Amino acid sequence: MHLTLCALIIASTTVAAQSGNTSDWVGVWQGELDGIPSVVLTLAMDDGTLQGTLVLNGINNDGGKPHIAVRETHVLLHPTLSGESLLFAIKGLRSSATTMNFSVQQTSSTSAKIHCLDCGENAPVVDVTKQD
Amino acid sequence: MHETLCALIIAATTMAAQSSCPSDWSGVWQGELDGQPSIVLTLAQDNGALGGTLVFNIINRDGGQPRIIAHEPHTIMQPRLDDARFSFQLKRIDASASPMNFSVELTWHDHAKIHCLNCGDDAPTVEITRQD
Repeated sequence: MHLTLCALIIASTTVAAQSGNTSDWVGVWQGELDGIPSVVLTLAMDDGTLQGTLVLNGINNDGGKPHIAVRETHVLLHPTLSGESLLFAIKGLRSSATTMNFSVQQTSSTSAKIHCLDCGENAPVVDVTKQD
Repeated sequence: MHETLCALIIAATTMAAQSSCPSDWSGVWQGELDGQPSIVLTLAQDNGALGGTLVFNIINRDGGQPRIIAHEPHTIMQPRLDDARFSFQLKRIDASASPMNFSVELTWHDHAKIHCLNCGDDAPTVEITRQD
């Protein structure tokens, strides 16, 4: 009986942690490189579930002032909340058949770290900030 | 003969301007107010169909320089592509009310007009441009 109660409490606590803070993710999250937005993650839940887009900006530093040279826009595939992290996939760059898996870990209510889990050992962890 | 050729060229040009495929729409589309991005429509087709987000930026002119004071992100619902027109819905802040119906019409390459069809007579038609 005691074990069953503990299991139920743990299960309900886990569910609450995963579902209770979904709205905290809603917003525009932006990471910068040389003062220019390099990653823009837009999250909302119009249909009741967390969905969104990710824009990856390729920044060119040639010729002095850094500027956005190319944009890759993506719709998030299979967004899932797991504790303090949001997991999702996007279709591979330039419409390749592969998918890339990302993790976004909230470090505060307005900051998070985004990381591609299968883009190689050198894939950077980028700080993103929720825009006001 | 000359007139027939001209008519054919005009007809072909008109058809090319009016028809579109999903990849024509992928990207970041932006409308501006006072030099600030007031609407950001991000479209992609990672799951095959066209989907995305729309962000309304609230711009404040108090104190001189216009600036963005708030973001209202949405995930687009019921997206539908019909030749040069892209239609979708957004949830209203009052979730119990009927969703907002939007229409985006391509006017030329990388240029479009966006309009809310059921937001009142004063709802503006906003010109948006796809970012490079």
